[in-house]
Order: sequence, then structure tokens, then C-alpha cells
Amino acid sequence: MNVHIVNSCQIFDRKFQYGEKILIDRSNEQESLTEFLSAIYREMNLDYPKFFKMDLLCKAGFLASEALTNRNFDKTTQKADMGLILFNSVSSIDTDEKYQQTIRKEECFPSPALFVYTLPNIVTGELAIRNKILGESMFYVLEKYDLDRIMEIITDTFNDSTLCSALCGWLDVAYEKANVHMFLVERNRLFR
Amino acid sequence: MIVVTGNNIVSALGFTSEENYLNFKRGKSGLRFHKSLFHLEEPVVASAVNSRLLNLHFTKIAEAYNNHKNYTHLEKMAIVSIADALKQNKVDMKSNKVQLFLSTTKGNIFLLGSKYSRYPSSASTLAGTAKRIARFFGNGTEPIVISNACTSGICALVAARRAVMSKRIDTAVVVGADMLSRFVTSGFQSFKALSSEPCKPFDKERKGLNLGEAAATMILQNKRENKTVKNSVCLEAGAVSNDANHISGPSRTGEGLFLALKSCLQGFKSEQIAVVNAHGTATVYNDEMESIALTRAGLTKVPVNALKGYLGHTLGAAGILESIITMRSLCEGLLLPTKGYNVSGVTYPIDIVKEPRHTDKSYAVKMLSGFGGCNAVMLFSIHHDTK
Repeated sequence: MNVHIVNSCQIFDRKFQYGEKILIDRSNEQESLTEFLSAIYREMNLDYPKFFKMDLLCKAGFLASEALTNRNFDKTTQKADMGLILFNSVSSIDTDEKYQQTIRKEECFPSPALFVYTLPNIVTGELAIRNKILGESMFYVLEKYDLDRIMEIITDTFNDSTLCSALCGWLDVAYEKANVHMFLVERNRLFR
Repeated sequence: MIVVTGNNIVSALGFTSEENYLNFKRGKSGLRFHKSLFHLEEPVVASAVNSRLLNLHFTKIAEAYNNHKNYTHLEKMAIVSIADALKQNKVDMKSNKVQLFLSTTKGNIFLLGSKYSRYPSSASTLAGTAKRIARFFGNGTEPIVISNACTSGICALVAARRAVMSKRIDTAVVVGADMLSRFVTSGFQSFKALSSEPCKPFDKERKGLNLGEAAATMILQNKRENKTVKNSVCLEAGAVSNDANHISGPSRTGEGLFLALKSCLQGFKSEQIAVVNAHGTATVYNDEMESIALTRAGLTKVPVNALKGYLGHTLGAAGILESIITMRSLCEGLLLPTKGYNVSGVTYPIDIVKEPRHTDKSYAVKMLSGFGGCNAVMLFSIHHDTK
């Protein structure tokens, strides 16, 4: 394989895990997904007010990506050799349903601020802005989580691009559940 | 070398690539004025695929494949499109070396607002829709959906080209499809992005975009394994970049598009390129941004055209549809005019094609940009085989 995984982050069952270590466990709290993600944001001592404007898909992707880029990561320099390769099964269903509520025939008040999040790839844009990632950004939808398929697509991407690294992974957010497995990959020296 | 061994367009201007191309060449437009589309208050100009005609085409195919399940308007467009593209080669859809790639922004999103259940729940997800289309043809592999906003079409070609190059599969059936819906139309209206008249790409009077619905298919195979192809269209290189600037507005410097152009055209000279087929949505900011990126990439002397004036913005279908039309015209040595364009309204001087032109060059560039800051570029070429 032409890449290796540097570090990984998972969000599932109201837990936040970095590598093998569960950093935050709120499985006993009676809270909404929004509250859970805000709690992670506070525990990580982040200062990025735009977080609160994001939809749940972007919030979950943002928190995982912050964990993956916490050490020695330069967020201020533009990186054309870094990419974003994200996957899920539900596209942007959470925001789709919220937007649908605003365009009912009886009461139609669509908002551009909500509509924009009805595209799943907006999360790649949010992470690109936060980390100044200018390389390839892609959003794929697969029927179900399949790490082999995901790694195939990542490998293909590195074979046909000049990327040196990429934030990758699975990002399913729907019906008050987040199922996230994101990781940072780097190109192996042999393939440079 | 990855070549196109079959293609089709289903749109308001026809049910084959050839029918569409001839209508483009005649300067016909599929855009119509709709006083109240989906009961929305503001009138819109949009291109729609006639459902009666679509059903006629679909019924014949459903009989040929002996499949009589219920399919949505979007799925029918995609199925009719793929079925026609398959007629042009000998692809065995049942092979596990054949994979479907679906480029779409919103798939069957209308199902979210409808109460009737004529369709199974799988039709309401993008992956489910793709699987229904693949299974119609008896294809058992897991399809891949690319949902990268307005750049989806080229992104899907980029991904499919890689999959064929990797030899994991030998045929990629790439279909781009999106349909008109209350969901998407109201959203673009809320952005004030729609023009109340037929759109005018790159013109100084441009006021926004028109929406359209379509499906377009390209079948990709490796040339070495398919020696029968003559005068083939080849996918030379593709590149995708992000602006890292704004989630809903184009970059003021055209950064992402410039980087994608630079990366895609590495090793090629601008003199080799017959035409750049721009995204050209006819919104003030998109067209301006494209002129900046083209200038930065040193492409000011290369003719530029945009095709949104014929069918509007067909979202997930646009990249594939406009590439097919561009390459079809290049096979004839023709550059199609930018319908709706009269006087340049972009700051940077680029060579916008206003009247039909002749060319003898064999390379063309397709560009797309979209929400999420994404930009995608593909370089195509025509190869005239002497064998």
C-alpha cells in the first residue's frame, strides 16, 4: 500500500476515542447529539466559533479532525499536497430532513444558511478552511461501512495525485447518532 | 489509456447524445418558463425531461430487461441513459469486473417530502438509488456514489478512471443524474442564485443560473483491452482541488480552480487545447472566478465556451453531459457558441466563443466548481486510429 495511517479518531455510542484510548465517555448522560458534540468541543478547549454554525455532520467531522491534527500540525500554511477523502452511507440526511421542514407548502421559508448543509461535501469545505487544505477533496457515499473499499479508494487517489497526506474516513451522522472513524494518512516514503 | 466506449445524454433536448448534440448545434434550448414550478411562488426558467416521452423509452427497456418494478423519474432517466450507452459496446453488466459510479447531488430527494410509498425505502438514499440502477441491469457489484456538489460529474470520472487504471475492474459505467425538485429549486431561490430569464454565461447582463434535469453516461474502459474502439475519446488526466476559502461562495482568487488546472495540465501546452468548456453557471461570482483562474493558469488565448444556456445547470449530470457535447463537437472540428452570451462581463480578458468556430486541435478541458469550495478539471483528447 502506498499510504499508512498516522493516527485515528472514533466517535460512537456517545464516546470519543483517539487511537486506542477513550478520551470522553458520556454514554451515561441523557443528552442530544448536539449537546454531546458541544461537550466534546468544550473538553477539547477549542476556540473556533464557526463550529456553532455547522450542522451535525460538519461538527462531528470537525471534532474528529481536530483530534487528528492536534500535535505539530500547521493550520496556518496553505497545503496543496494535503487532501480530504470522506465517506458515509447517509449523505446529509440530518440536514435534509431539517430543511424539508422549512419548505412545507403551508409554511415555506427556506434559508440559504441551512440549504448549503444539504450537500454532504460541505464538511470537506469546512475542514479545508479550518486546516488550509487545498488538495483534492472528495465525498463518497457507500451503502455501508467497508474499510477495505475505503482504503482501495484512498490508495487509488494517492496513485493518481501529488498528495502527501490526507484526512480520511467514515462520517455517518443521522437520527441522533454519530458513527465516525476518521484517520490521517501519509504517503509512504517508497511512493514519493 | 482510459477511453470512452459508450455514452448517452437524456435531457430536455433528446434521448441520445446525437439527438442532443444536433439540437445544441442548431442552437435549440431546453429551457422553459414555469410560472409556478412545484407550487413555489417565484417563477423559474428550467429544463425538464418530458415524463411521457421518458416513460415510452423506459417501457421498451424494461421489457427488454424483463424488469417491471417501480422506478422514479431520476432512476428512469439514469436507466434509459445507461441502456443506450450499453448498445454501443459489448459490456456484460453481469460481470463482477463492471462497476457503476453515480454522480448526483440529491438523488431522489423528492421522496423526503412525499407521503406516498410507491417506491421501496432504498430509493430514498443515494447508495440505495445507485444499487437499484445497477441491479436493474443485473450488475451485482457495489456501486460508488460521488456527491461533491456541482463538481460531482468530473469527480466521478476521476474516481472511475482510477478504478479502471487499478485493474480492479475493467469497465466503469459512470452516470450523472439529478432531477428538478421543490427541495433544490427552493434552496437555489433562497440563495437568490436563479435568473428569471434564460441564463447568460460570462455576459455583462448575467443574473444567475437556471436549473435543469438530465442523466448522462460515459462507459470507461482500458484501451489495451478494447482494441475495437476507433476515433476514441480519451480521459488524459483529472484533478480536484479545494479553495479552503468559503463553503458557499467561489474564491476571489480562483485558488482551487487554478491549482486544479495547473495540476491537470502538467506536461501539456496551452496551444494544444482546442477549448476550455467552463462551468459558466452565469452567476456573477462563478464566471468572474473562472476568468481569474484561467488567466492565472495562462489560458487567456484558449477559446472558452459554456453550455448552461442550452439546458441550464443539470447539477450531478452537468460534468458528464457537457463533456460529451464538447468532445462530440471536437470530433467534427467545431467549437459550440456560448448560448446567451453577448458582451463580456468578466474583468479578465478571456476568449469566449460567441459564434461557432472551427478547430483542428484534439484536446479539450472541462472545468466545474461548486459549494464546499470544490473544483474539478478533466483533460480529454480525441485519438484518430488509423487501423
